[in-house]
Amino acid sequence: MSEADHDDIRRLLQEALPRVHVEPRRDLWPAMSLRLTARPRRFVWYDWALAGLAGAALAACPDLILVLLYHL
Amino acid sequence: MNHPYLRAYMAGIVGPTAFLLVVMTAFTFARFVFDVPVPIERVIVFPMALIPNLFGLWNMLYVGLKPHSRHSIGAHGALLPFVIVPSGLALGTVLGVVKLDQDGVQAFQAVHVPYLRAVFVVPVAVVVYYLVWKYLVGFFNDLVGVE
Repeated sequence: MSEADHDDIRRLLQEALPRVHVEPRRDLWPAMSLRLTARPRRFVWYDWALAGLAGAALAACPDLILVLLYHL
Repeated sequence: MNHPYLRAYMAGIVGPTAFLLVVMTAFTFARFVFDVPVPIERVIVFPMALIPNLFGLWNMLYVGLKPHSRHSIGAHGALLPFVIVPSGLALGTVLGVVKLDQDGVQAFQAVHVPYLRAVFVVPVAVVVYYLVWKYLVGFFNDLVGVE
């Protein structure tokens, strides 16, 4: 197949297929950046207590760590 | 908002997919460094294939229920272990990596946990899931605009 045939096929394909808009209509990054820099949720005291309890339970029963990892 | 369920699914699977590296590393170290005879190829099926998808589907359920329900995302996530733990037990039993006997649970041909102690897995998993869903999945939901 010659180079001219390739050009013909490329031209026919471009004519047959609709043109795709590769650029979004607006810049999506500012909205995402705003969300990323928004104030994160604060870790409240009772959540620290719960995390401590879970950690203490695992420290007391280390054989549960693999079993727990299996479920995470 | 376009495609809220697709966004919810994607936000849901991020945490467990990334954490899979930790799980995989832990089981790999146990198997190849500490010579614990864990049948890793059968054990990893559940955390690798099912858990991320369950997280995604559970988050889709949360987004679907949100207009009709007032429960928080943390409470919603805390309910997931009641699906995941029985599923993990069932799949582990089918694959031969979890065995239930008179004394307790034999897990991964390496760990034997008496029933009295095995019961602790559920509340610890509930706490961990509550925190993960409240802070991590909640953050990703905020990010993709479904919270």
